[in-house]
Amino acid sequence: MKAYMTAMAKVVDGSDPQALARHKDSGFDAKFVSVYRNNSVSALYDVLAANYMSVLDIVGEDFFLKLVHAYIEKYPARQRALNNYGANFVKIVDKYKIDHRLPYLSDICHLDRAWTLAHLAADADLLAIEDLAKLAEQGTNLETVTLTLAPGVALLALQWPVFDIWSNIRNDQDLEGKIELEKHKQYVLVWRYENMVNYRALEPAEYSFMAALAKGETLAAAINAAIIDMPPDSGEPEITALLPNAVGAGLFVSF
Amino acid sequence: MPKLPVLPCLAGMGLKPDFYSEALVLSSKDIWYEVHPENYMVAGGPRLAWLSEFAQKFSMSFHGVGASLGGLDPFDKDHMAALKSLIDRFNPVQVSEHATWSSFEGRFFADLLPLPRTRQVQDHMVARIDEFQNGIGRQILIENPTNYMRTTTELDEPEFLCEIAKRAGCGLLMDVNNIYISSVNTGIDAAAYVRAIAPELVGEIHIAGFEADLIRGNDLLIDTHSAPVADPVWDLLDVAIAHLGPRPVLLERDGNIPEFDIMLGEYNRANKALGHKPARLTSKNTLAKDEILA
Repeated sequence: MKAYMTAMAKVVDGSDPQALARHKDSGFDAKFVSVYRNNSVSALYDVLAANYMSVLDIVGEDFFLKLVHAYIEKYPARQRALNNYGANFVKIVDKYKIDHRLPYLSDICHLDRAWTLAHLAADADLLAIEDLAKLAEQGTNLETVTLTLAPGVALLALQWPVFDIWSNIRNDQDLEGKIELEKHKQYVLVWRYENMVNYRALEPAEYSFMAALAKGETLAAAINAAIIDMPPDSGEPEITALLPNAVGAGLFVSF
Repeated sequence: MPKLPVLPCLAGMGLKPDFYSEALVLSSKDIWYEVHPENYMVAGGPRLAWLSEFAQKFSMSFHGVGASLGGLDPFDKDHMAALKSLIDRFNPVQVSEHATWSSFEGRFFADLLPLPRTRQVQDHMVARIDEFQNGIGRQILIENPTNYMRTTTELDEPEFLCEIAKRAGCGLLMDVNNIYISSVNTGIDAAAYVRAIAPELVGEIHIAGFEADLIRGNDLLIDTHSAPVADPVWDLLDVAIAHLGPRPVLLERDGNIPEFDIMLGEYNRANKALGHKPARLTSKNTLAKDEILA
């Protein structure tokens, strides 16, 4: 049986479409064996199309299929549950940069990946603002507190400002007019709350605040990081809202 | 063979996110649902929340696609543990898998590949099913494959599968769509195949839709589950019920999923084949009280 499976595996992985036809002892007539290769690619295409729906929307089915073939060859599926398949898809998207000529596609890919990871992430008890109040009542100096991001929370620093394009695709909305992008950084937060994946663009100060907390820095250090990135005309109220807003959005696990 | 677990002897439906909300409002007296457990092998989030809702209300069947029962690789321990964890948590009435292989030397092909039908492979399958059933703590049903290649191997498929089931202490899941497709693709007699299966082994029937190959047309049918159930498959379902007696019948649909009303239309037709009175649908896609199935 091993000789048959070896031959069949070569047909299905595309490395030798004639392998089964040459293996006369299998008992199978290999006339239609290519169906199995097609079915395998089709199944993996569907998984990657679901996990990178915005990339697919932008490049179209034909080019996406080219990416899928390249991905399967380089990163064949190893796990039986494919919900998380495609972790390295951005590497293939980057490899084909000359062909798709979309320098911002990697950022779209990162956003799609963040959506999937948020969707699949573990459930967690979330920090409530009352938990912090209780801590303060117990005499803890909140400035010294560190917080842990909830599973699936992603902070992205994009090279291109593609958030509006991506969120429109996710919301099945048409993009109005021709999109012209000027390269500059954009910060995005993706997370899941009450079983819905949420996303929004972040101001630099918000990103610095969250990034500091994600690195395990104290609240005081995170607020200082945010102040450094706050525009000069901004006042303290926005700074004081950073923590309650983030806690209210369900971004941290409880103590 | 131990007595098979019993799903309601009604039509059931493959559960899809596309119609979670509409499916959840149906009465548990009228329908049961089947899921691919691999789609719920996730850390958390909405999929498990939905599955929890359904499992609390309906009889459920877990139909695996990742075990690679006929494979030579050792069973994937992570996959088996994840499946057992889902079974322990959601307690499905029935668990099933496929009489195929899908993994080789660590690579998973995401397709159900055919096994040579030899005595040697029978022995292999019996041992593998025994190990799998022990690993998940459940008796399973094994589903007949869709065949795209003619074969000259030792045994015909009914003989091959029935003996495996008897020796391994598992049951059979008779997919009549697979049998019909195989009959077209490989020239077997579909009705004779159905009648060659020992009725006491069969715990569930599957029906689904297929598509003709884009190049070879109706000479080569592809098991896509992305079309309505075709008339010859409905006819074969009648043959199966006449031979086996009533069995739970699952309507599978994995692609081009239509409005839920259309799915319910096929569901009603399957119930009619089982001898139940067709259910009338209300405007809310729920079954009217006076149409509770016999």
